[in-house]
Amino acid sequence: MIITGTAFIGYLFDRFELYRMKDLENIKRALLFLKGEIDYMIASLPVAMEEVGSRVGTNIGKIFSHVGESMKNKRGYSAEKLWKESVELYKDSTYLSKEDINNLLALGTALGYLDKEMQKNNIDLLLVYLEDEINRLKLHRHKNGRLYKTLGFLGGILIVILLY
Amino acid sequence: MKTKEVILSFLSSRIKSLFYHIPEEEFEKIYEIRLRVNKPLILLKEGQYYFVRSDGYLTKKLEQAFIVFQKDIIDTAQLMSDYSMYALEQELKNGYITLQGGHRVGITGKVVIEKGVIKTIKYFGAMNIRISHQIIDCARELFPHIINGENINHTLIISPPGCGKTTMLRDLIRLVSDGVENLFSGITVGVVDERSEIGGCYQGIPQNNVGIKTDVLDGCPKAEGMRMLLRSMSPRVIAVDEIGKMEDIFAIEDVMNAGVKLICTVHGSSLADIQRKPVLSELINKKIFERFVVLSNRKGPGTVEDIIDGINLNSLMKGREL
Repeated sequence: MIITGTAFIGYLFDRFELYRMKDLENIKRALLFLKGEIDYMIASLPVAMEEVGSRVGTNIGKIFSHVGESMKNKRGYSAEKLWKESVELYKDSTYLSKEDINNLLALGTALGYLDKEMQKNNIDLLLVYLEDEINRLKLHRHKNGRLYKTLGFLGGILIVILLY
Repeated sequence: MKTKEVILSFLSSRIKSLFYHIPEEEFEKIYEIRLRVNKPLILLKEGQYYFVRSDGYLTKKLEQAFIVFQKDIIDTAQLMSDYSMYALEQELKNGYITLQGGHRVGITGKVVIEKGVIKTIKYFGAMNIRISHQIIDCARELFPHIINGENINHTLIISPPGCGKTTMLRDLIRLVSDGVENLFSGITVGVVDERSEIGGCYQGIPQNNVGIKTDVLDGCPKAEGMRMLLRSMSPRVIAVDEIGKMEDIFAIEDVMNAGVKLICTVHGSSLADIQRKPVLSELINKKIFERFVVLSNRKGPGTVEDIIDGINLNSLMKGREL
């Protein structure tokens, strides 16, 4: 039972990184869609956000759909505040790290106020971070994925030996 | 949606809260809301300027005035642009944006120039929210002086800014289009609404009542728009706001040559004032317009000061009031 437990912990470590990578990839997809909506469709941000949300789906998509809906309600708040509200609401249902969340929140500071070029630059800034982080995770998983599982299994054996 | 509801939906939460307790009928009397960074919020209501206290009551005392911060203007700009300033770059080049309902917002700030032409405005410093008012039948008493049997006279409305020129034009368009029982049967009107103030179009559909036989070209330059309407919609009357450029005059001549009647407005305080402007004096000298209507703010916006026969330049009111 101990060996199964520790092996499972090793497995979870590996899975956590995989899920985080999937979340980051979904954000990247969403941002590319958003850039297209702004650049080619010249859609309004609430419409673009809802469209992106429905296309991406998952919990990441919900962040975009929710902010689009909030913008349409016209409560008098800035895009930054509404974006923060939405990210805070859904962050616990994602596997994103604190640094990922901070970078995601930084996107809100320039949302909706600047011209097209600046909007695109703002999105590109986050895309660069996502690209780096996804590549780093891929490399890390390739190197350490098996290691986590093996360490988990061996750790379990070690505990058993020490106990008996 | 009522005017107050529409305007409040575009204001930042801090500014919006100032107007909550103002009743709808009082809000209707507000013509301008001026926001300037680190300066007091100022309202133009019934021809008078007021400050607003933090509790929303109007005051003339500067020390009690609510002060506008930059964040208020940024948040308001976001709401006005539907969080999409990037989609309004074309409008910003002209220095204003038009809101749903035809309310026009003038914006100043840092103008960005690219390759010698204005690209956009950023770092907004001030906003002037001009609340559009549709007053049904405000042109009703003026209307009999405009019509000429089953058609109308070429008419030029002369008015200083803020005296109800566009409101009067909008109601004239509606009356010409719908007709008036036992007086006028109504004819097709084409409107070139360059600044989206007449029809208050939202996504191409007029939000104001401009009549059942009216076609509106929204956001289109006046001179091109008049020719487009001539070619496409065969109007009997074409209406435009704020003429003054040489190209407008050439387009007006095209319209007249096509046998179509015109209703136009122009900035000015009197006929003499217009005659001093080189471009417009030519129109008067050529006796193109058959009626001049002079408006003022003397008894509130839309006061008809005079109606002048364009041929002999005699007053048709002769000291009487409408």
